[in-house]
Amino acid sequence: MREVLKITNLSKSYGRIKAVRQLSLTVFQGQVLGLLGPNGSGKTTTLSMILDVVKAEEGEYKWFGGIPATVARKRIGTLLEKPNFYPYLSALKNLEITCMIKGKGKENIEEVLKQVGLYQRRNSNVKGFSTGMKQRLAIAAALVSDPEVLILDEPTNGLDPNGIADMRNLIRAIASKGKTILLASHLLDEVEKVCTDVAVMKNGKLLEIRSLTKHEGGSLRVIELAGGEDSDLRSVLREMKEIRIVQSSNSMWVVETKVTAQEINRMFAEQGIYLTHLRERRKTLEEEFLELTNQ
Amino acid sequence: MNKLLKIEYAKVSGYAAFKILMLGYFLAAATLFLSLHNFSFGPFQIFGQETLKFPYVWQNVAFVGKFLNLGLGIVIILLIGNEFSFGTAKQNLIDGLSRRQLVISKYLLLLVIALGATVFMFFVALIMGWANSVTITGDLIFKNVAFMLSYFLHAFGLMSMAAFIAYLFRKTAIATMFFLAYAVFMEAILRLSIDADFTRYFPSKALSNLISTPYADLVSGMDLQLQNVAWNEYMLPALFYALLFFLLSMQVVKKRSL
Repeated sequence: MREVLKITNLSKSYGRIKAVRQLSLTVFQGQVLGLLGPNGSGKTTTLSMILDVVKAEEGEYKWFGGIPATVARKRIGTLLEKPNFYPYLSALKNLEITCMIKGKGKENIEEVLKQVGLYQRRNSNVKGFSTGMKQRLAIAAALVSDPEVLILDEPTNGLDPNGIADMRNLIRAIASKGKTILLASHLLDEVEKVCTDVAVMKNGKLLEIRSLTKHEGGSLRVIELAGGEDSDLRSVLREMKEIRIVQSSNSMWVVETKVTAQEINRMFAEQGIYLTHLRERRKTLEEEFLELTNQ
Repeated sequence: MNKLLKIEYAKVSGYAAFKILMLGYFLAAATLFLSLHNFSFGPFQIFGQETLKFPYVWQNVAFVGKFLNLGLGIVIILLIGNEFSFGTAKQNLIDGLSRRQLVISKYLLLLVIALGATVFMFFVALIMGWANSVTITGDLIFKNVAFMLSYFLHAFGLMSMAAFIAYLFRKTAIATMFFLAYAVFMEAILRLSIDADFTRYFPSKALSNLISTPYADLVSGMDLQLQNVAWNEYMLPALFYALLFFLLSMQVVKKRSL
């Protein structure tokens, strides 16, 4: 696979706070990489550095194998942090400026405005747009040059439920064209639904990078169970070997174990407890994320 | 270059505040010139009949234009400050302009404005000279037209200073206040205690020296002695500062995060 972006030992601090520490990461063509991390973990700073908005203190990054940065940025569509537009210009004029800078024709403008649902308002000044509309326009601006790579930093900020669903479909559609996407978000189910890989950051460090498409080889299963009194369930669970209680709320227990669901069911039945709910599933990204970042 | 200028044009052509400010500048200039003969300094009419005749009119129109250039400086500060407050400087960079290009594009716009203002001043001087001169010959008309070059350099230099201040402070209000304060009195106060041989090369003074005060000539000689338009003495320091502020702007934008 062709390397789209190679980051090596990138660091940045704001005063005494280390925003990003020695971050190294390679993004390949066609990847949809979710960049996860709690607030202040350095996601936006990292994205800002690879776009030259923030000066990196140490380390380096290479786009498309090392072409000049300005040439590279013209091939990348970006929504960083918040939408930035000339408020006194119309949506259409703002996108025209984007196209001029990118050195691209204006033929895509109408289409992307329709895609994000702003075509009817194309001649209105951005000043009068709501937060969600500005966010939609920023997405249109990222798409208008038909870029090879998309960088989306919290793209669903300020969007309504329809907007969020539209955004998700849009990312999937773009990814299916073989484009590379870097998506920073803390909405985990969103990342889980659209990404091929995730990178988890905390305190400026990259904790883990992992594929979401390949099935994990680990032998641990996650089992949800419910039924009977909580205290009875707990005492039975405590007696079992090789089991770890991950979570219990509203009489629903989540455990991590090597034992099969069938075996668990049998053990409860032997104790005279009959389960009303028993389900084996993959660990959700949220559970993994919380585990990783709470360490 | 052409592309950068087109982008800048797209940004300002839809900007009502810019158009109003520029229109205001030209209207203010026109009104000022129409009422020049009313200005007096003690017994001396500052812009009397003589001063508005060829060839003196070139210097005197340029002299009035010198003050109006403060307005052009504020326009530049507004345009640059906007790019920071709207976050569009950052966005332009993200979209593919280099930091160099961010600065160059603003300087191209600044040069176009300086050029436009100079053309405007040229016609103002020509019309006023025509209306007030008794004898009109080709020689006499264009004898001191070089003051229009001085005017252009002054506009360029002052806007260059304004641009640098805007890039340094990034906030329109703070930059405007600092620019006006520096150009109007801060440097003047600073100059008080320093030898004139040095202070004539201070930025604001060096720019101001391009076009000297016409009534000073009136007072000193009671005879209209015209300033000598010497390249080395006045134009080179002004050009030096215009370019210096450009390079400093470039450095400031290159070094800092956006």
